[in-house]
Amino acid sequence: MTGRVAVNTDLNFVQGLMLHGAADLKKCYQCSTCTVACPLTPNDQPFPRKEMLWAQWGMKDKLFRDMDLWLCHNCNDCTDQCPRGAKPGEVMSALRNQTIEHYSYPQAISKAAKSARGNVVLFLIPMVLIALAIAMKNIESGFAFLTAKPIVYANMLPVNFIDILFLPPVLFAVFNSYKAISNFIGGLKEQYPPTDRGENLLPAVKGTIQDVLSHIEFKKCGTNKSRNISHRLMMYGFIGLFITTNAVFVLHWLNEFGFDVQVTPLPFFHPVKILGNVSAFAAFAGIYLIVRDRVKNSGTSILSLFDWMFIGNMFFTVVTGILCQVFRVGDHANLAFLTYYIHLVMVFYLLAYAPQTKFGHILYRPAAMIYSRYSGRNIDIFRNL
Amino acid sequence: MESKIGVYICSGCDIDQALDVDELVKVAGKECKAPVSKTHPFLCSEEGVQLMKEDQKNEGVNRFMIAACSQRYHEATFDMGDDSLVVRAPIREYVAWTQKTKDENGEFDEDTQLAGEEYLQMYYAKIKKHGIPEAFEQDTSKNLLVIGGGVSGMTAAMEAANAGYSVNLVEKEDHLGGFCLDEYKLIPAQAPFRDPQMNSVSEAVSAVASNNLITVHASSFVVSISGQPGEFQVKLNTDGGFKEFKSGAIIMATGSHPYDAEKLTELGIKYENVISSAEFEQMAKSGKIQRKDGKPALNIGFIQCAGSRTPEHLPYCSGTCCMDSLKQAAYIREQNPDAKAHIIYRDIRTPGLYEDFYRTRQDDPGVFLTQGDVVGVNETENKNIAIDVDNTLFGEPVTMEMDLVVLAVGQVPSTMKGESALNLQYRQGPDLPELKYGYPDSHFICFPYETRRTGIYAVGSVRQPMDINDAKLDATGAALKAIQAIELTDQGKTVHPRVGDLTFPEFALSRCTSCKRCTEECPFGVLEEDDKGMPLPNPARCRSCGICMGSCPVQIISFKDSSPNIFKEMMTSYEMPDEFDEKPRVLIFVCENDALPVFDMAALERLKINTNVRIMPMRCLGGTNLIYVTDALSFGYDGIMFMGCAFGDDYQCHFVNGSELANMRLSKVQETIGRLNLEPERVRQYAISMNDYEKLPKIIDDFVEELEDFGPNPFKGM
Repeated sequence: MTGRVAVNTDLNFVQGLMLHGAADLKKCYQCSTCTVACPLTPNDQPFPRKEMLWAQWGMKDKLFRDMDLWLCHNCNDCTDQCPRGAKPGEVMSALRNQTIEHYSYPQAISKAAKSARGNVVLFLIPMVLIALAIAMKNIESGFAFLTAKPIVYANMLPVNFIDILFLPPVLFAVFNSYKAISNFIGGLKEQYPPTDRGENLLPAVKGTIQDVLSHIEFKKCGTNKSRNISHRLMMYGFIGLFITTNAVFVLHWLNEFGFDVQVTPLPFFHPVKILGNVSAFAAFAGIYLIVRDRVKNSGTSILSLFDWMFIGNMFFTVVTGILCQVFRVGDHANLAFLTYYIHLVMVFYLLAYAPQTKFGHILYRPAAMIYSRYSGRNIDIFRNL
Repeated sequence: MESKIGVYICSGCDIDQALDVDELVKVAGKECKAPVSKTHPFLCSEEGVQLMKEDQKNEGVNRFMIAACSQRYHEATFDMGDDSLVVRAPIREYVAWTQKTKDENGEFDEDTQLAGEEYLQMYYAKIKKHGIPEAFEQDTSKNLLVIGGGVSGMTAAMEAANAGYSVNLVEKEDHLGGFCLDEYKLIPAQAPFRDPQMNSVSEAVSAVASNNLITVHASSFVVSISGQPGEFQVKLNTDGGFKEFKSGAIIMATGSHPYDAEKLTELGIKYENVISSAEFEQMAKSGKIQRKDGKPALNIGFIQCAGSRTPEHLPYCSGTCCMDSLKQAAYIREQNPDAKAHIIYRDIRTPGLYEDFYRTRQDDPGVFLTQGDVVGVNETENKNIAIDVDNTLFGEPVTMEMDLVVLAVGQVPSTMKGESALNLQYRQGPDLPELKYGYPDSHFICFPYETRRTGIYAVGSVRQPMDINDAKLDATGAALKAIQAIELTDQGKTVHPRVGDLTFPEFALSRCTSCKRCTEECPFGVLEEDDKGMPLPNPARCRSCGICMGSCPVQIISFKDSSPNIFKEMMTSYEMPDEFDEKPRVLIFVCENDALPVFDMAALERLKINTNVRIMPMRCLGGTNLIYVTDALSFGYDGIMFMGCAFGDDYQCHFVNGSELANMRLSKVQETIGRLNLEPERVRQYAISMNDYEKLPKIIDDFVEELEDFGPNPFKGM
């Protein structure tokens, strides 16, 4: 049977998809309005029609190796124009979640992130770990940090402790990310062998970084136009916070090694502090807009728990981060330390489970975008603008 | 009774804007010598009709020639009672609306006026020769014979019984119910059209069995049927014994059977896990959807159009197998939630509310649908079936491995079994003439239940591929048609499509040469033969189309209102302008069913028609007798046009093949014309339909222009 693709339908996969965000998947009757509506698809083998069919038939192998899932930026122009209400945009989103789960290692974390019960476990781990660390540090002093003035978070959990506590999960996440993404790219290569139309790796990476920073894809969107702003705020905010965190890390260790630099809490006019605060508010504005739009569109767009956990995680990370500072300056010790504790738990969840949760899209999407340039798939969408 | 003709010329509807009506009244009196001739500005008004009624009473006028609008308007208004004849001369359509009107000085156009006067004389000639129509008489049975006790037959029987008619229902099996009785479930017949419904055929069987007006003859078949509508003599064989009775009309509901799946070798029927849809239905009914080896079938494939829409097997769509396979997919999902149905289709044809049934299956995660062409079906080592499919929605050739494969086969009408269900004792054969693939011929689009045997109506899946719901509707319609046939026959009138016509062909047998052309060409099998080979008419079988009249080489066949003689009288009724007048004359024979409405439509649009043509309506172009051509040419007409419907595979003829027969006859007359030293191009047939009305003036102008090249007919004035 050479040259023929073996089609093996998978009922469980289809039912799983329908349960997790793609409830209307089966309504698609392949009219291809979606591919016409889509502002982002390449002309050759366009999406999302073929993904809809593969999804209906449960053709996992095709889907997990499909880079087009990640060229989709969830504009939802397709969902808007679908004559049968099959919501292709939502299906694509659900398929991306399935892909993350498929490649994630260990897969148990991904599966847990889909369910309420699993998430309790995922949260209990940092909650217990961090609580234990706080207890170990403060049991002798009788939790004196609660009453000490001024409020210094390092009193509750010194930076060294935090670094020791967070470094293993971060390394764990990096290792898992590497494993998942290398498998993912292996899959892409099989389905889309590189062509001579492709770019070299370096220009591909450079081009992708430019595309991501400029949000060029989001700008093409019709229905979800507002995400150009909200996602951009969110992304820049998080990049800023990422830099802030690393700067604080560097400052701390410079200090530890005897250099004369300022450590936390930094004064308000310190450049790192300014960057941190500006980024935090950008991220807050971004996540606020995202949540607002999602709630507003809840009629047309059904989000699975997997999606909501990610959005909620982001939201509470940012909010608790900001509140930490508010309560600290406002001198509400109990509230401040409680908020800080929650903040730490949130950050732990975000970092440790990054490759297995929806946060993993920051790995998969750039990987696919780079590969699409590298393999030449993007040729007509990026260059003929 | 002595006949007295009155000519009544209407001047309304702008007729007086084109014609000098007073002058026409004079022509009627002077040229035609009509005893009564009058005009009225609004003849179809109460006052206008009253004028004629008074003449009927006081003057004894009993033949009314109404020169006004087309015969297709005001038929009831101008009904002057049973004892009086009405002939319509449509000067409004033929002249007033389609010719030049009077100029700004109030002068009437000479040619227009001449046309009015010539038409008046033509129709006066007709009314003079018009005979008095008479109904035929016979002893009509109001009993209905229904052959076939399936869903169609039972429905027809019930509908007829509900309308108060007694029914003899003949079934060859020992029980009623037919094909659908054994179905596990049925496709939905009512809202919400989402799921299969319980099989209710057995309830219909008991309802029929307990109906007092219906006599069921089980284990029976028809040995012979003779006679005509209203008095069919039916002979049955019931379990070896014979029964005889009389029936007024017949409904043939002998159904269909699934196409023989054994012939589908290219679809792997030889493998043990490839079965037909009929087998699968029984498998689902037994509750055990499984493979031959007893293992449960979890992956089940459906190949649609199996043996349908292919020239090697059945060239037509089964009409049912899309719904059937979707229904069977529902069985699979209902009996095992882990089992999956895969449907490979060419097109899904689920019209109307069936779309909801399709959508419901589509929404089921365990039903997988793709378009595709099956190019190979092979057995694997473990007796699975691999289906190779090209041109799929996937955009690449695929192969699917299935536990069980179902071939959705089409329908074959019972007429293809090789034995006659009717056994008609007709000269033209025991069965209904077929159109294609064993399905009976009728005017398929306009008169679906009709067949070419009057009073016999084919219904259900023997008529065309159809499902149970369509069959029920079909049966209801056919029952009503059968009742209509009985009642009209009882009144001695023609049935469809010239419903209520009282004129029938008459044969001057003393001059018959027994050439049998009429008996051969009659599309409805009206004519039997006597011992000398002369035609023996069965008026109740006749639809009054006049095809026999056209066929007769010695012109012995005529109708009261239409005959070679009447046509000749009409075309020679006025003085032919001579060759120096530059007034050529072209005769147009126009089919009343298809072409005449085109002229009416053109008139309604006030399109200008060439002033040199004279129109002669006829029942059907099939009534074209070659004598018309020679008569017209020898009288001096410069050309003759025949306008009727399109013929061929998608024929439009109300009488099946009238225009085709006309074409055949005209091809033979061309030679004769050549021998007269005339150009054969002077005579031509045109296929025309309602949507051609805008082209009509040009078609005629082109023909007249072409004639100018030949010069005037040399027989003019001879």
